[in-house]
Amino acid sequence: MNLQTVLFAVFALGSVISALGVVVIRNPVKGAMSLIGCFFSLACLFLLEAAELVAILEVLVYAGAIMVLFTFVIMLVENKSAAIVRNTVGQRLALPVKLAGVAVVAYGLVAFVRKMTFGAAKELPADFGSVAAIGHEFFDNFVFHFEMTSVLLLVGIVGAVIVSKKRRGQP
Amino acid sequence: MSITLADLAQLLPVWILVATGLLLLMYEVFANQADRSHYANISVVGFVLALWATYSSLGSGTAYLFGQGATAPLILDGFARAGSLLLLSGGLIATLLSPAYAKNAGHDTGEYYALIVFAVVGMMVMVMAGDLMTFFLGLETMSIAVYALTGLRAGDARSIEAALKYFLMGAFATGFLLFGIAMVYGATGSVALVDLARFLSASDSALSANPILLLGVVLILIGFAFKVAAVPFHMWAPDVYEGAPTPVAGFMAVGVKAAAFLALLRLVMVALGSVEAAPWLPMLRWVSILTILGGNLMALSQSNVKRMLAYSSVSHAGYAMIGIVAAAKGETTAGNAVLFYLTGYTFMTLGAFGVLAFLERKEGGPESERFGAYAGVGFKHPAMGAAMVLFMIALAGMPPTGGFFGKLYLFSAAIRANELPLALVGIAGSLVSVYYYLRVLVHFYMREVPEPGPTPTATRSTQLSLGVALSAALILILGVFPSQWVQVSAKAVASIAAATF
Repeated sequence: MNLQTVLFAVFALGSVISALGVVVIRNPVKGAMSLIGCFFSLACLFLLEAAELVAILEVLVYAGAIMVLFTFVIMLVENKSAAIVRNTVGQRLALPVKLAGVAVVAYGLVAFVRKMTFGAAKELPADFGSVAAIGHEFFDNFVFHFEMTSVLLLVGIVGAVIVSKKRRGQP
Repeated sequence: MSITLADLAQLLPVWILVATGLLLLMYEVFANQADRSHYANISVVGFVLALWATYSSLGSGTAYLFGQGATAPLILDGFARAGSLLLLSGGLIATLLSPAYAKNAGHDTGEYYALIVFAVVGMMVMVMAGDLMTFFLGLETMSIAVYALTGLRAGDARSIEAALKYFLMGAFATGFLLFGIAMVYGATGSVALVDLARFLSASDSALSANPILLLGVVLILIGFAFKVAAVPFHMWAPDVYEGAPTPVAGFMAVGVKAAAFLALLRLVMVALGSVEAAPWLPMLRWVSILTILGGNLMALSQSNVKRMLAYSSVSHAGYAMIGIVAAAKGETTAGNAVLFYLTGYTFMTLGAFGVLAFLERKEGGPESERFGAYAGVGFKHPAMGAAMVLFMIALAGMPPTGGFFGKLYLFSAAIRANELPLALVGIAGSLVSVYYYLRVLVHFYMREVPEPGPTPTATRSTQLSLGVALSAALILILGVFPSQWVQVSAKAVASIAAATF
């Protein structure tokens, strides 16, 4: 058992446990913290796979930007620190049903994937997943897609603003 | 890979449109807020320039931009150019129909016109797309712009409901499509259409041994069916068309549908058609049959004219799907028929929505959209009434309009592809449709006394009249002299087939 396996075990367990925490913990702020833990573990898993850029983005974008947004929303909508979900009898009864549903879907997916035949794996280039390699793809092979995304984002922003802003003659 | 200035110059129409959109956004910020009449004019100038640029490049050869050979993300062939011509004219007419209506509804802002312009940019990218990712980016640009446009009617709950419904359904469809694209990429290792074609034609057993690829293609086709509102993925259409601003509903009915069908035609002709007895053929065939029958039967029972037009546009998606099935079986004239049909459909539907926009009351409401509300309108506004007669005749597929030839070409392509049942279903559907299209005219001309309740009042505007007149003229030209556009579209479709390998 080498160091990589140990680290994988640690972070894989960490990601599963913190993901469970997001679902189980009733206090939304603690749930959000647990989600950050999940992102962090995932980022470490990506690092173990030598996908540095994805790891950095996972921390910067998800744990950084998106979680801040989450926290803001929680702070805005929360009027009491009490649990937002009430613990009713119906929910307790529904839990096993939900778990069974998840198990069935997971089993189906695994069975589907195991039934498939895959071609021979291709050798990946040495710098696969590095910042330089991804940058190269973006500005070389996928330069049009990259630039078109800017138009798409502009349309998204304009659309969001125009739908939500108050118009003339409206209170 | 190097990008030359000559490459970029090939994309001139797209540059013109993007510049127009940005100009409109800037103008909204910096110009005099009291004068709001220039937005539409700026937008019209942009569309006309882009149309001119596209038209003048119609004869030039195929250009592969931003990549090598046929795997390039953008393929500017005759098909892309002819398709752009159609989409640009749709955008132009929708813009012309807008100013008076937008002023009444309180959304005559620069952003409104900019979103129409950007939606057309997305549509053009869809039609030029040589790989699935480019297609997806174009589709999303178009869709997001149209989601926003749908929700613009200030203070109308139906508009907000429509926007939310359209957004949720559309996001769902996008999910299907993207999931399908990911599956196809996983199975073939490439997103380029030609690579998919090579993979499919390499071995016929590839499909049965490859459930991922099959699932991917089926998911992509479901995404398409959502976007063109084909039965059984049509549920959103009536509510959305009813709630959206009328010119936007027209733009949505023609632009979104035309762009999606043109992209689907390229996908089918380049890649999916290369498989003998493909498993998705029966699926496309059934979607086509269900869409024609469902759209027509549901349109029969509508009491709201906009909802009737929505179901009618559902049924027209079914007719176009006949051509897609024929094209998938390798019938060479089918692509041409689809392009011609979509052209006619664009002008007649936009024109009909234009007349409705002309007649819509300022306060709107479902009451003023009933059939009964239009009693005697044909005599009060003779020109608009005459135009409506023309559009309804064209939608029903009768001569001397482009609608007749569109259906004729589609059905004969289907018969040549050994799809006689599809053609028969199409003819039966057209016969049923005569009833509800003529019902509009009955109310326009044969019910003199207006039924109680609010009646539509006219919104006079030069641009709107120009837009309706342009649609009417084009649909007549297509019906009387169809051969010229047939030749252009035949050449356009041939350019796809020639460039496949």
